[in-house]
Amino acid sequence: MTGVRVRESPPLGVIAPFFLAAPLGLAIAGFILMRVDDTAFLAVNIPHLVAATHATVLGWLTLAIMGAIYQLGPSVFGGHLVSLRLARYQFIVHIASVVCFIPAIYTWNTYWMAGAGVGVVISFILFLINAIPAIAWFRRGSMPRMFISVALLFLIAGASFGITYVGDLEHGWFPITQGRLSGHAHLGLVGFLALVLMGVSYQTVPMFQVVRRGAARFERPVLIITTVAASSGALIFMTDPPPLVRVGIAIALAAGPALWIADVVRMLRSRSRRMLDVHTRATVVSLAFLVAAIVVGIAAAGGEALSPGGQPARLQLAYGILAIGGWGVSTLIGSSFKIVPFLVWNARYLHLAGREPVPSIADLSSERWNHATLGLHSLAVAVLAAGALGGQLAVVHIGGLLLAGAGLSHSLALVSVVFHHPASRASDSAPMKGLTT
Amino acid sequence: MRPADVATILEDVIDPELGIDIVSLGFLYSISVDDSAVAIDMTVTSPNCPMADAIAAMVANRLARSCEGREIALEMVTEPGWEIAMADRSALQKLGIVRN
Repeated sequence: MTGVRVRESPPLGVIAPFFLAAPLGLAIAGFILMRVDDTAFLAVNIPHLVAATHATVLGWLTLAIMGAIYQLGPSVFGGHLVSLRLARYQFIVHIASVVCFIPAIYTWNTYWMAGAGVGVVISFILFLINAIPAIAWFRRGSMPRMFISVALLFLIAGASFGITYVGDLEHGWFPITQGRLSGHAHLGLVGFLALVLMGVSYQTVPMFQVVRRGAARFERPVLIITTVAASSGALIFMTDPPPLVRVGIAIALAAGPALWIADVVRMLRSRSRRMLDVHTRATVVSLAFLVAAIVVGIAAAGGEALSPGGQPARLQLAYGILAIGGWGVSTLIGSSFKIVPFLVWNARYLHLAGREPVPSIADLSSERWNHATLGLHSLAVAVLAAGALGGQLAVVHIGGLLLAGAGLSHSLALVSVVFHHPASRASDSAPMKGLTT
Repeated sequence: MRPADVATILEDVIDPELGIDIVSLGFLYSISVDDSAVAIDMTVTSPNCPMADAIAAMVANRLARSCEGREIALEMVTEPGWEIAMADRSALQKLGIVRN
């Protein structure tokens, strides 16, 4: 009866590295933000900000999404991975490329940026070879699958523009204007990340929060509106349109996520599981950040006229922090604290369950530690956004430190789950009847 | 062995995700017992419940331990779908829906 086939999941050893390494990208972004100077308030395409953005997006968000797709594809969408070995190699190629790419951006070494950028593209190609059959690309019957299918097209488009821009920096084919940069950013942010996050949430929120059927109403409109807005909006952005047009695009880009917010609120209100766990709180926090990102993003599209202190990048920086760091990262923190213990439990204890006492999934991790990580991350994003909006460099640096701490805390929390020691936890959990047998 | 005895045995099976036993959650729709077999119709919270396979395996394993000599016939059904009203008061308390 079930739509989830846990036995079809790839081995823990294939999936876990993606989730364990991903938060380190966030930590690196935090360390980079501790080093920015006040030019960050004047232009968002300075090396430090571009490096921090790509550390978060390629290092943290994309890596975690890759792991999640490798897991969800076979177990939820009925597909299969072409090769587990390919997935392992892809992880190595991705890590090696990102580890070279971020310092190259930070030092603005265009030669190394081009080389490492090619590595990232190779990683994406290897990923797609596995991901497309894993999710049964564009097969009808599942809206989350359709979201991810479309998102992979945007990944291809975003990466294509990205590697073209990197080559352009080395060879000087054409000027990379603010609009062209914005087009590339929104293909990645809205086209890829937002569609994946929204699509996966239509699967995971009902699953983890025990939501009754039919609570979500706008899945199809969200997908259609976001796809049209992201594709056409990114292309129009690349023509460097006037502020009024940019604001129009920003509103169109916000429409899909706004409908999705309504859906998630409906799902949360109709959930049977009323206890607030880290996934519930992360979902609520991420929604708050998304609302803030939408407001600030529309204002940022207005340009200098609306930017505080006449510094045009302050709103754009705050928008990026709220959207990527606030919405995207908070969502994935909540999901990873559910997905990783679930994977570990299935790998270690499923075959024992019913035969001998085993811990429950909640026993595999520390709820207190998980909440502390989420709280630290939320604080970091709020401080960073406040620093950007207020033009206070010291506040941005403090926010960077908090972000680095959240990334490290998150990584260590997940490591503790993967290397969970059964005896130590099971013995904590009272009598046999209280254990999962 | 009576159906009530089987239900008591299955109180040992805890949904690994929710941390609540499957009897309190109201997952068991019917239990029939005869000399040669134990037949159970049961459900989980939703067709997409990530723990459905695990719970089915746990039920089968638990019954195999206590019902030696009898065949275990386990049917996972989706209709009628599980509703929160099927859970008992102790489950509702653990889910945070009613207060202690």
